[in-house]
Amino acid sequence: MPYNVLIVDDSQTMRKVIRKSVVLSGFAMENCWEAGNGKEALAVVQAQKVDLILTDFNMPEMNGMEMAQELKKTEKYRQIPIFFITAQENEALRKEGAALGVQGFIPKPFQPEVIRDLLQKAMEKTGNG
Amino acid sequence: MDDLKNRAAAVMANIFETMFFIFIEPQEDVGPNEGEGRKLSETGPGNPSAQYFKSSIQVEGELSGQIKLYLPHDLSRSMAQNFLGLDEEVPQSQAMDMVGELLNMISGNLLSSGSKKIVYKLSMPSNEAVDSQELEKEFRQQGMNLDFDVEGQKIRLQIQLH
Repeated sequence: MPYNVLIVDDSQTMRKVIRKSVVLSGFAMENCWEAGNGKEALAVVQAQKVDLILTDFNMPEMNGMEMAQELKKTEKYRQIPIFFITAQENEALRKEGAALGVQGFIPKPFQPEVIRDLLQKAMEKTGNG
Repeated sequence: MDDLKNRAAAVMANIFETMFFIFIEPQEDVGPNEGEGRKLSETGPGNPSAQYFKSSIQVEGELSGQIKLYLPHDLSRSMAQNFLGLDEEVPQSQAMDMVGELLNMISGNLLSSGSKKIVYKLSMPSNEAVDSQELEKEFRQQGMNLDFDVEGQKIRLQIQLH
């Protein structure tokens, strides 16, 4: 079943690369939305059907963690799996993400097959796989 | 100091290979910079007015300061083109964005390679085009310089952390 994916990163280049990597990985994607920060991402989630979010952590206006906190407050959006794609990997970030229910972390640099495997497992867990 | 340098070299190699499929060669040890920079014209493309893209990130945490990356203009454009899988040349803005994102990956990975327990705050990358003459001034600043060769072109990573 193809999914509607939201990619959130302040770098337009990175958004395109992530999109390309998801496509190359073979992950079934129906629609792909993009946002430049957490605030824009929230607007997309309210306007479109989003099944999965891939987000950077460090972004202007609203970072990935703040965006995740906002989404988790709302029943309607709480179940959307969220993955952080980030170059900054530390225990505090992982702990905070886990407490919020963030699905996982994809470290930058990444390879497409890593993305595919993680995303596929996540969607299976949510019952949409 | 050597540990940081070795980790930086390993991080650079990993990122260039994983994301860009490029193998980079670290150059001879330029050592900690004590006010004397290596002349770019000796190692760069040979054109005194050749442009480079520079990206800077501010770091706050157990170590603070900044990390800068200098990439030749032409190399940046070709890397961005390949990165995005495009046939046509990319605009300068997109090449600069790529350099910023590259530095973001380098900085995050470098700081994490020391310890995953320490939290650092990284600024957004600040990107600009600079020419060789401006670069000579920048390279004379205090800091750790690591040079790499990519297909005959020079890349510099400058680490100013304390």
